[in-house]
Amino acid sequence: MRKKPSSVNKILHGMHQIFSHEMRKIMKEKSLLFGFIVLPVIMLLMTVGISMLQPKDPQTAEAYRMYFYGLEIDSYNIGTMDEKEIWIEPVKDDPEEFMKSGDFNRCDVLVDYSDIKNVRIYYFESDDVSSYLKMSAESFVRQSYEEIYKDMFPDITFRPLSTEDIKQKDDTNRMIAMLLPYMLILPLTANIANFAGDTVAGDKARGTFYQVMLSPVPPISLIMGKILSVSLISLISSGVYIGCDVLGSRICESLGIKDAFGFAGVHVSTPQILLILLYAVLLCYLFANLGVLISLFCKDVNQAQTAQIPVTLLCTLASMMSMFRLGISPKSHYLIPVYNICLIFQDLLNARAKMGNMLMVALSLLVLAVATLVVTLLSYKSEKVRI
Amino acid sequence: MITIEHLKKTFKKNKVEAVKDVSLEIHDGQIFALLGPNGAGKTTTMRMLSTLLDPTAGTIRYDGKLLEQSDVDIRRRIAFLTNEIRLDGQFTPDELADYYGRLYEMTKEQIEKNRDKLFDYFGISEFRDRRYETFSTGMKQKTSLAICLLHDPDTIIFDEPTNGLDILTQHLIEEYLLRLKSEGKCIILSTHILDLVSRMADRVGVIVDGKSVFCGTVEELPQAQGVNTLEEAFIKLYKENHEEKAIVGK
Amino acid sequence: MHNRHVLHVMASEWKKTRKTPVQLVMMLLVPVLSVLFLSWGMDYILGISSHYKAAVFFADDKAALAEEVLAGEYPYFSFRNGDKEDAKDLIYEGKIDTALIVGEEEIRLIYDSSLLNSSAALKDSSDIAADLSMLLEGKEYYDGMQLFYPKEELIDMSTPMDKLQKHIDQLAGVVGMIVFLMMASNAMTISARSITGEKERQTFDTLVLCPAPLRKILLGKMLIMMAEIFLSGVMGVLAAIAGMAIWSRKNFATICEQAGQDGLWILVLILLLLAVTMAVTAIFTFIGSAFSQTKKASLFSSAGMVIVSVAAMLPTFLTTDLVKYIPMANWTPSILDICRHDIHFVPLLVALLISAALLCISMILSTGLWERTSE
Repeated sequence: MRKKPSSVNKILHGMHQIFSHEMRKIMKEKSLLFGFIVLPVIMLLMTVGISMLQPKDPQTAEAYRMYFYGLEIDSYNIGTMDEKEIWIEPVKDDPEEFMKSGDFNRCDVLVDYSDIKNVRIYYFESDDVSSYLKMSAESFVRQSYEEIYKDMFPDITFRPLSTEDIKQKDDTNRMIAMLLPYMLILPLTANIANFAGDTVAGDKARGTFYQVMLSPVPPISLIMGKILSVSLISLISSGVYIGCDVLGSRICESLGIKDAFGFAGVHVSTPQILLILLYAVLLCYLFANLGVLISLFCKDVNQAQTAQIPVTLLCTLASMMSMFRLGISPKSHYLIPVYNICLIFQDLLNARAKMGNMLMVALSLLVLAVATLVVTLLSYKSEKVRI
Repeated sequence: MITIEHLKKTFKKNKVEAVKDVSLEIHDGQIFALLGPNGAGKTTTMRMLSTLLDPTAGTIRYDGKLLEQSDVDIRRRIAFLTNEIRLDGQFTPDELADYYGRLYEMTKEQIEKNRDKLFDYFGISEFRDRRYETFSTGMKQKTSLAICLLHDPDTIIFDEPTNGLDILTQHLIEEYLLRLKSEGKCIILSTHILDLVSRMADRVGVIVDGKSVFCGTVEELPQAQGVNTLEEAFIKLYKENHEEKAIVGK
Repeated sequence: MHNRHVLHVMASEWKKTRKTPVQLVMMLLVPVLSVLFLSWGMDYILGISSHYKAAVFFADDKAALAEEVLAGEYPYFSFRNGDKEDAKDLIYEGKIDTALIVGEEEIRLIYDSSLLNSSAALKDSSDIAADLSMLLEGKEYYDGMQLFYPKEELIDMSTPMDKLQKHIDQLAGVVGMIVFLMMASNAMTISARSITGEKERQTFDTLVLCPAPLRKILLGKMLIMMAEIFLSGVMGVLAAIAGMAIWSRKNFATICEQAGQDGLWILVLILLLLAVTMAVTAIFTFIGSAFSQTKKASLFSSAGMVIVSVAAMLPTFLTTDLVKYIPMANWTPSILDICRHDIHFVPLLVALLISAALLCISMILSTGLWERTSE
């Protein structure tokens, strides 16, 4: 006589059976693997390609110029910016007249010293270079007066200003750090939505879902088995994506060429690696669970896909918004699911990730994952699922 | 024995009252035929019997046990086969038997023994390594039946079991159902084929407009209606109990 | 005669859409909600990061004095008592971008050059450092210095439109991307339902048996798909205009002043959306007809979504005027042209022609594929 299995064992047994069956099903559809393995790699190559393109530069001037009117100075080069020289140039013509001439570009600045007590700086706020030159002009004005002031009060000791840059990584790959999360989230959500839709709504349309529902397998085993199979395949897919990315960086590093993959110089500690793994698991699980939850209420794959578009879109929006952050985000932003994954991914690529923030991300994903599972299990009993 | 008392099902979504009041008694070792016109509520009743749907009101008892209290145990003892239920096309009958057998917590030996017996009977053995999706309609139905019966259920619920099948396959399935009956199993059939009912069923239940209007032996049905054949009895019952819907504007 | 078949197919497909509430929501409501959410989100994110936040730390409780004298002149700086560690903590927590630590011998400036905001704070930091230096020497020196300083007058020569350009560039880019993705998502599901689905539901044979040629049926399906995704695009664009009117009223007024001089902007938007519609229809009809299972078609549709997404992103990275001739990529430059009221129709029409050509090629290939995959 066989020993009666405990309820936990029953759940695990059922889950294992459903999971391995679903995995076998996925493996039998070779073309489906395209979406999970080949597509992310193509995406990665495209991301790298885009990030290697030069960001657009609307300036057509050969050099940037700071014009001075009313000062007796010679023209000289004070440095470079974006590989273009910055020149100090004296102007003889009246400023108003000069600005109307073709010599004054949108990226230039004119400092009018005609009234020594009222210095005027003409610039274009809308132009980044002009705004930057305006700031330099302001400093120039101040410094020139400080020098005169110092001569008048020689007993003052000015405290020198020492700067300390706390950036932790060469930021030449800021572009890829900005793009990578978006380019990972978009295909991941779209693919998981397809698979989750097929595993439940597809089974419903084909009539195979009811056969399993009729078996004595507990609902949690059925749901978890399906979710875990989709999660695993997406996890492998993300692994391939990130793996190719890291490998690309390493190859660039070893060949001594500029890293186009964004991972060079990133050092991740063991706890951070574990947390990243946890994110990957939770994120794939979360998308899979959301997909399964939506598909439970749909009659076929097409309906499931249509219904899942808002989720895909919301994730795309979240990852898209992460592209526009200019500074370090407030702590509360690390609690917004999906958006926080993009933030932490960017932080990691910029070697700026903090353990506290990383834990917050893990926590928010965990809470959402548990909540989604509970809702899914409650929904399973719904009549709409069973008709 | 299955006892159904005042079963009612109203779908929440469209508020359709698919089953209004169904009371039936189904005995072990017998074939019970559920008769009714299209849309009478047969399939919904069978879905409730098979635990797929929860009743809105009323009770279903399997050997005195309430269904809602022990649905997992009851699921272990029943098989439900309809035309809507299919199997995964990518798998072979062997793989499917292995999967479903394990879902029913059967041992490897049990699966192999029952599988070989059923596959041999239904002539699936020579196709056991071919994908289910490549089979003909009849072959698919036979495979589905074999997989359904793999866990040796006490109660077998069949919704139109021989629909769309050739005469040979129909005969094979009917033979097997009779064999199951002789083994003391309880078989519930839903069908429109009155000839099948008269040949095989012991007892019959008639549902019209979601209400059970008769439950008794096959012989009792024409007698109770004062006619000679099952067909006449069925039509009479239907005419007596069917509520004509008012046509607006007429 | 055959045109009647096309019209009939179109009417029947539209009926199917009408009877699919999820599809209607996806087509009409979701574009509006997504774009409105995006407009709000962009406004919020750009709002919180439009200027840097910096802090000056004093080891010797001089924060109050410095605040009293300098707060007016340096609005983005706060003044606190604390040390370097406090400063770093605040930077890491994202509360400030740059910190100045005032020491006895020197003033230390801590910033992170990988953060745009932090770098932007650099110049003001060196100015405030000079002022602090004098202030801490003794108030009288500082006052004297203030009197000695010239009056600086900053004259911004940019027109309101110039100032808007960057904002429009970003907004048009993301709105375009999301509207295109929305249109692509709709195209994906419509194609999966009406083209791949015919084979999956085994209704394809019925179509083959009817007297209308298959290519006419496909044309009917494509035309209604175009109409539907065009509609979803229009909804998205209307939502973007509404979002701008709600969350950036000032910018909206400036744009209206420029672009609203005549109705040309409507024509440009229609031409742009039409080009996107045709290109997207071409991509997804081709994918839809190449497979006999919805799940496979959808999976490969992800590749289509990527193409759309990359095309929309192109103008962010490419300087060349060539992008104006590429469907989808021409969105952002054309929106900028609308805002500047400097509209060029030749690139718009070329992009439209390219899309039309794509549609024709897709039509020819798809008819063949649709027949083949059904075998």
